[in-house]
Amino acid sequence: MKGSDEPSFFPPIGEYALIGDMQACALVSRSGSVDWLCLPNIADPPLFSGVLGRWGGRFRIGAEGDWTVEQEYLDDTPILRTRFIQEAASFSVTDFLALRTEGLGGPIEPERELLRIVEVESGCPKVAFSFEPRPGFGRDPQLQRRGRNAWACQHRADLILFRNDFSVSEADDRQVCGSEQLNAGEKRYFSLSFCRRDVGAIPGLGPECETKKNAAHDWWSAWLSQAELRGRFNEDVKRSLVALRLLTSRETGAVAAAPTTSLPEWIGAKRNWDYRYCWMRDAYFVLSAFIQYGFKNEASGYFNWLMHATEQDKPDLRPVYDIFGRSDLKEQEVSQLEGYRNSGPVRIGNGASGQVQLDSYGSVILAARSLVEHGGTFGVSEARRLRGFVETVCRRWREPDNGIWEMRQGRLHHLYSKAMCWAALDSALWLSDRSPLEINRNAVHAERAALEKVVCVSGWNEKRQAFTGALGREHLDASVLLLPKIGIIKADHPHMVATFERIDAELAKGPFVWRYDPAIDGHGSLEGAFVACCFWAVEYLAMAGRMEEAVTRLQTLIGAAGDLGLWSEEYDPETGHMLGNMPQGLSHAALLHAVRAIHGAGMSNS
Amino acid sequence: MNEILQEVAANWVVVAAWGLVATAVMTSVLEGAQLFGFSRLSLPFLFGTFVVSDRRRAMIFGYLLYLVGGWLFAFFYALLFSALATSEWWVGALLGIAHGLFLVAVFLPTLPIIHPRMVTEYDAPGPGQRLEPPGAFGLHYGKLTPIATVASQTLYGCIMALAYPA
Repeated sequence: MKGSDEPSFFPPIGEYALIGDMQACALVSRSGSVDWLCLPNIADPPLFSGVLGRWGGRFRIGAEGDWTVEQEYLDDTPILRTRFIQEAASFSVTDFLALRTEGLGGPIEPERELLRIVEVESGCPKVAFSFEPRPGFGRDPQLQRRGRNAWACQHRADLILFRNDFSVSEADDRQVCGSEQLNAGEKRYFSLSFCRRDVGAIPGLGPECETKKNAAHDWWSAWLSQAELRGRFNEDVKRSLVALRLLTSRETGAVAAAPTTSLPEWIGAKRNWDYRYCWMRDAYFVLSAFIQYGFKNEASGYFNWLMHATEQDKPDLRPVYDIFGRSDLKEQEVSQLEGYRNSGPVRIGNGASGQVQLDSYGSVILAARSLVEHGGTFGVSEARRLRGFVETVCRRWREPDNGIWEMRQGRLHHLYSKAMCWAALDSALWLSDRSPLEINRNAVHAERAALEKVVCVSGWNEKRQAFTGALGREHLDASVLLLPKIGIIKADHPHMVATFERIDAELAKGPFVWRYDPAIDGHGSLEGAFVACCFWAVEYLAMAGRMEEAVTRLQTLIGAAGDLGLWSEEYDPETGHMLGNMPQGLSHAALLHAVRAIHGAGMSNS
Repeated sequence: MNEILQEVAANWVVVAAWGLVATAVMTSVLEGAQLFGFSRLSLPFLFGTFVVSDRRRAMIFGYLLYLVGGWLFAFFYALLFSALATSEWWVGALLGIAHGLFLVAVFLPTLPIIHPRMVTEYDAPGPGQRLEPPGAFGLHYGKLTPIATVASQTLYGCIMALAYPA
């Protein structure tokens, strides 16, 4: 038996594909293994967590021997086709989660359903599968046979039903396995369905799976057809939009940061966090990405969720909520799993929920501004909520905070937080002329002016010849690349130009930009380049009019992504491997903003 | 026999009103067991899907049918109390237990045969037959399904016994 830190047991993070139904997400490896799937929602305990440990469970369909593997999404939809190719034979596995497009009004269907369709293209390959569910992070599934080709796992109030029309050679209470020699043109179907606290629905196989595949394809194609595209980088834009949509709950409108927990930001280190929640700091980037590309429904739905989620904590904001608006996300460690390539601990919950992140206020109010700028509206109750946030900013912006990077060793006067407080007040003044938002304009004006002085004057470090990460500190922080984007300083201002050059010299390798020097955060290990910061640098260059550099950087970055165009949180340019949770919504939102900045500067078709 | 019927008829308001209360309590216990994850059985949903196939309307019809059923059983319980000339709480409890046992031992296992939308064999669901069968004693819907069902029926019987002036 191989050790669980063997690379073959843990494929590179960047080689995972994402499929989902906008409530649940699964990661599928290039070898055809579903190594991560939380049910029924993104932050629920996983049924498969093999990506985090040997005992996490997997659902693999593949073949023994050496095969050339190709993966692609069908017509940009999140329907994944994995092709296994040899000279004498080839077959494909098509993976997707069924969409309940008719809601409760349609026929009786399970709450969630993962479908896998095997189709032999040529020859007579021997295809094998193994189904090893481990509900709740590696627990025993106690599988029970139900009929000839169905197995049920009852875990608490959940029914997990596995059906197939394949030859099963081995089955016990922990796994179901089988292999079969198939002929060209033959198809086999696998259905994994889920119901919670309800009488189970048993889906059919065969033509019914094809119908569901076509329905999912049609829905995603129609959704993508709404995208307002401008030419260059369209494929990457579409992939990013689909990734963001998969992270967006169709039930609540919330957008999760990522579908996974504890994929490490450095192999062997302890930088492992649970990102299956919704960060306020992402609100502006995600909402404006949706709305800039024509997805007003998603933007409005997300804004409504923001207003709903923040009801209990008003007029303060917690940094992070789950998709249902709960902010009590107690951080715990899962002892059953050793972590991706032994990079433990595996964590669930997130301690950042108790932090102070003042940039969140700017992000939420900027999101509201972005909505209104693109024709959206909000009512009096939302205006009251936003006014509360504005008053909180006026009252608290002089306090230190944990910052956008959630520093755990203490609070500082982070420059990005101050700048986002400025953006909150600036956007509030803008909104007060165009929406029901009523504020004390004189007071807000005065606080905004004070903040501008703090950021642009006190934030400048003469010795470093740069805006540094925090007032009175000398470390650099790539988040300040966003200052021109939020409008507090021009991109071509000498101080901003100098800051970019300093960051490029000290925090970057080519187009890959680290968020800060990893030595400053107290975690005692290295980490990868921060993908969002890489795209922020591109956007900064585009805003500064340095278009050739921006385009070259963007091309290099896009070339570094995997075949499927997905981005995790971080990237190690030395090894070419993705790091951190996968895929990361903020990374994709930053890509969308960078492309839009280039398009906005008139480089759409060159 | 006539005297028994006359006694029940004389108390029809009590039977109707407390039948409603007992049905509500019984439903709450069963639905509570569902919410707490003890059982996935929902009798209203199973009744509703006798009539319609979509979940939303099935729940509405199901609750109505379940309510009517609860009322009818209230009169049946009243007949038994009058026939036995007693309505001690433990008599009601015994009737409820017997009723519950009948449900889990006979009604639920028979359901796949009579329910138009229930699968009879797991490997043969059709476009119209989707519902998971309950299995012996309803155990497919969770290990505590028989207990939750019998407990809810027992409460129903107790309430009817305490309310009925036999």
